Amino acid sequence: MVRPDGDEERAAKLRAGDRAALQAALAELLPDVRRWTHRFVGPGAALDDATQDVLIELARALRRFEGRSSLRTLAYRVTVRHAQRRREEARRRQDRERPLELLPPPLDRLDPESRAMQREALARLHRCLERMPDKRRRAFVLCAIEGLSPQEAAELEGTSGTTMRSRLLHARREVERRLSHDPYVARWLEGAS
Amino acid sequence: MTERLPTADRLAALAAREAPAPLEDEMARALIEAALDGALDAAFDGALEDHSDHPAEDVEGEGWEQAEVGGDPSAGESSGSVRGELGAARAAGSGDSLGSGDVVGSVGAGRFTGAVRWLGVAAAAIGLFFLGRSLGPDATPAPDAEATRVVLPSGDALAVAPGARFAIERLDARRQVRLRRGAMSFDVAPLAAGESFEVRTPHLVARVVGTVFTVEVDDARSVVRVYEGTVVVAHDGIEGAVRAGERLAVGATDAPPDDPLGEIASAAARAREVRRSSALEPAPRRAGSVRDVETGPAEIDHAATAHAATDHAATDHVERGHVERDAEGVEDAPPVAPNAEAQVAPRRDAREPAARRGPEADGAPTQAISLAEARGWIAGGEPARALAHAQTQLGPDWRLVEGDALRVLGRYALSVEAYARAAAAPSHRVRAGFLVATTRAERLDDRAGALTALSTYGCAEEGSPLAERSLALSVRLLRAEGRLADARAAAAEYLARFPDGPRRAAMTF
Repeated sequence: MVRPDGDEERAAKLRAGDRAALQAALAELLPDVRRWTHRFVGPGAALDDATQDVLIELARALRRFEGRSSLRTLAYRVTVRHAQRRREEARRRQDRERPLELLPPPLDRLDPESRAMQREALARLHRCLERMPDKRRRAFVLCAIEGLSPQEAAELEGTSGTTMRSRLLHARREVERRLSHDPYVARWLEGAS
Repeated sequence: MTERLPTADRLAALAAREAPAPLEDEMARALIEAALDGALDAAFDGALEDHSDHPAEDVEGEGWEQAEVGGDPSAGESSGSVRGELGAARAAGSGDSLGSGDVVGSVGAGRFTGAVRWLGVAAAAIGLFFLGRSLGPDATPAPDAEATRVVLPSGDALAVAPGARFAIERLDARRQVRLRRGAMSFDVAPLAAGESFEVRTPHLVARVVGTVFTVEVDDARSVVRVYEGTVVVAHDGIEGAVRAGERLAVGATDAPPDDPLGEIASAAARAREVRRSSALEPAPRRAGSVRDVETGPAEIDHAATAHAATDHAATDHVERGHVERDAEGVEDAPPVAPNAEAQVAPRRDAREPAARRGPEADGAPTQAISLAEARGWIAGGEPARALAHAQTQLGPDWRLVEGDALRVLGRYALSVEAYARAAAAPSHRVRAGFLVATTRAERLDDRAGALTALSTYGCAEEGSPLAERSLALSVRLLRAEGRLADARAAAAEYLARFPDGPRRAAMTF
């Protein structure tokens, strides 16, 4: 995790547009940015484009970096905001459907039916998350999927650990409520157990 | 103790394993280099959305302060200078005094690329320079006399009233202008499939579908006047269509003053009509005078507006929003769906002219619907209506509309067929062919089909306006297909033809 605390020199270089410093910062942040973009924009062929868009915005933001939070927090906020814009654009276009073909390749060496079931279960989770309020969705992604502790997620979101725990609980309950009776998810759970 | 929620937790565990494949080092380097180029090459930086390390809620609107034309009218100096370098635009927001002739403009790099990027920056810089030159030392110059024009590389003509504060944020296919204060007129070139033009003010967002209109902003309200075509206006998450001859005000309820750029906009609309008649294009409706469609200070009152739209009284006021209609009542108010989830759903009204209602309104297709209007339906959330009309029309432009509508409806295979029919016309071959390719690649996951389309329609051939993008797409698709030798050959061709191309960093692998 990139922490600029006490690293005024680095922040100054970033603000000055030092290319080597910017390259190094972006290289450190890229894995997180790409994974968050994947989580928040959703799986699909547009991931690389979206990642590049976020990196461009991030490169600009780094030139205004004042060291009041970590670089990782800044990258997270840029990614979330970009994803939000994409979602709003998609919503305006009524581009609600995400073809299953765009989901990533099978995760395991399973038989075709199990693979299909797994992909469908994932697709349904993504649709469920897309319908969820933004803060709850981000809590679920950060804690349940990304594996961050509520406190770590709270730092990224700029809120308290208690609030994050509450959002996470509501998000998990919502997923449970919406999908526990879904026949595809149920079949996948049966097959996976 | 964590509550046990097995379905949620197991799905989360499954999703956790769904992480994207790690990037190859070369690809990562290419992405970073391209990002740095995109961020640092921009000649103007100020108007881009500010992502400083403030909490997300705190940075909203900082970019607004960074573009100003004409400066503070009360200032006495006139320098006529242009400030375009990085960071210079911040002066406007930080309280530095500006002469009335100063131009502090900003043009975001956005996603516009390569030669287009530099053309855009150069054109905007030239335009802003002349804006600065044209503004005299008078504190309050006569509006029309000193309005100045900027023509963007896309052909959109902007007229800027002195004192207007604006930022051209994007110059690519999704062009975007932020207007903080003052008045601007927009003569937007006809938009191709996938293109858009938005004007954002503190009070509303106006999305254009090929038209002539003005936007005027002060502290209390934003006013949109449409002289030709249709503009979709969003406010507080609610959208409505404003058509030729109508005026929408969001904010203060007293009558706004006359349009300071009205004559310019009217002239632009007339010029368009002349151009269109020579090109035998169908003409959208025009209006001789602009009518009012006003809303209350806080929000569009749907029920009230909808009621007013159907009321045949010459003038109708409501508590929070009101619609004024001229004595003849020829046109209707912009239709706004009367519910909280309303989208841009042009409501049909008994008095609405048949030409505006679309083919299904009276059972017979009509030729009077323009392409711009049909695209407006798509942009406004009525793709099925646009599709129904497009399918009754002939010509490659209508096939593009058909393809766009089908794509929005999620019927990607059919949209590819429509684009392919458009591409049969030599004039549309490359553009429609490129849409075939991108739809196949991005919507149908058919990389091989996309590569075939790029080749079949000559998208990357010399002289093609989409050659750079087509070659870059080819490289990406070939790599994804595992055809590395072919990908390297295509990348080499890219670098040879576009040595300064925006995606050059991704061509080394």
